[in-house]
Amino acid sequence: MNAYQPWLDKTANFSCVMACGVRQPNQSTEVRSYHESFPEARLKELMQKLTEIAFNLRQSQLGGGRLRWTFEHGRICTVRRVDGAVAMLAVNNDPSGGLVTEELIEEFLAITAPAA
Amino acid sequence: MSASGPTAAKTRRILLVDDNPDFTAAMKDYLVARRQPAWIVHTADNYSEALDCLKMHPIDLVVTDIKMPVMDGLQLLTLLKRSRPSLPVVVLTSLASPENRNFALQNGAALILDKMEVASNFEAIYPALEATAEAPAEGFKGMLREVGLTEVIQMECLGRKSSTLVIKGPNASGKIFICDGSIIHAEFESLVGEKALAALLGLKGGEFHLAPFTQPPRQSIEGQWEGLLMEAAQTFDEQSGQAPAPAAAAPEPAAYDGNRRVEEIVVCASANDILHQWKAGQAERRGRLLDWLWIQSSTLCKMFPGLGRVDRLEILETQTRVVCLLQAERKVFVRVSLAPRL
Repeated sequence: MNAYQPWLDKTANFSCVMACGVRQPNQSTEVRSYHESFPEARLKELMQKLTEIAFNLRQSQLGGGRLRWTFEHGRICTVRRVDGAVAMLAVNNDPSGGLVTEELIEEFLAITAPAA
Repeated sequence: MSASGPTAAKTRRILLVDDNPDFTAAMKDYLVARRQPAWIVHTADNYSEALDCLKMHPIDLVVTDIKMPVMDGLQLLTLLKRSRPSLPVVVLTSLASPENRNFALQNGAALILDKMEVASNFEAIYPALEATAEAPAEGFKGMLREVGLTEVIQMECLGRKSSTLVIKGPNASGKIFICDGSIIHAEFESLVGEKALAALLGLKGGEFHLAPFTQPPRQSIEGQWEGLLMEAAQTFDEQSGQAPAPAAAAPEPAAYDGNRRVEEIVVCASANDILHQWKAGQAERRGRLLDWLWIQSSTLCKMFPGLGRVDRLEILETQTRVVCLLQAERKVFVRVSLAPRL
């Protein structure tokens, strides 16, 4: 079990979370889907896409460590740790979504870095 | 050139300019059929006939199509605004043409209407025409559904104008004071300042009247208008539940501490069509970035249709925050510094 597994499991406790994922520095990716809008089969592709976008933004010197996409029916947030691990959270428009996202992101950033 | 309609005491004269006789005939039939108020409808096939008609009759309102031979509707609008600045001109165009829309707004069009909608439903646009024809000489009336309040404010600010925007919502009214292109005060019911501005921009219907500038009771708003409009839009989103409210619900990487200031703005239709820039040393580069982000976000929307359309991407860093509003016709890049001013 990798160090991010408990974090991924915890996301299941929040009804506003529609999907989530973690991409580790070695590029191994784990995802969770809690809503039919986010079929699990496409989540790794989503993680790859979001990671590429964040990379390009960093190349443009605009940052990219933390991104928040707002759509009509939800938001997708990504955050990148110093060690290169990236977390993704897709939340619906439930009023609790913002608070839950912040809490989960803070926990993700605080996870003790796994041994290389 | 022709005219028809009753000549009762309370009448309004409207001039329809379009080289499509079927359209002008249909619109004329509709207006003449209305009893209150009575309309005298003149029609002109081209700009020459239109100018002749304006010389002969006290026209209250001109409705012109854009696509016409020799002199198109936008050129006619420019000409009329120079010679008759108080004459309201309604421009018929396609919503798929932001360039025409922007040009018409910048050159004094009172209303911009989608011609296809007008042709299919005269009843729906009639209130807008009536309100425009009734407009007082010193300003114009608009319908919030037809000309966005935000767009009017943008035009006033871009033109560095001074004016008082009086807004009447369904149940209350308010004012926005613009001085030399800066929003300096807003009031709406018991709200004042940025909260009032956000509430006014969040109104879903009503009328506004652009009046000459009057001194507000005090200055309640500071900062660049672009950032204010963006903040107001975000506040409205959050209050209306259209999107979650993380800023209100939990702290962001760097919470607002009074040091927030806009450092760079680019508004564009595409990288090749920069509509406005402010302190943007690399506007075209930002435009290319916005184009690229628009493509990426469209891909995400296709991958996950349940998300609906994209609204914005925020890049949240410790010292800066970048907001990219992403729409097919208009994209906005705003970079805000959160660092204390040295």
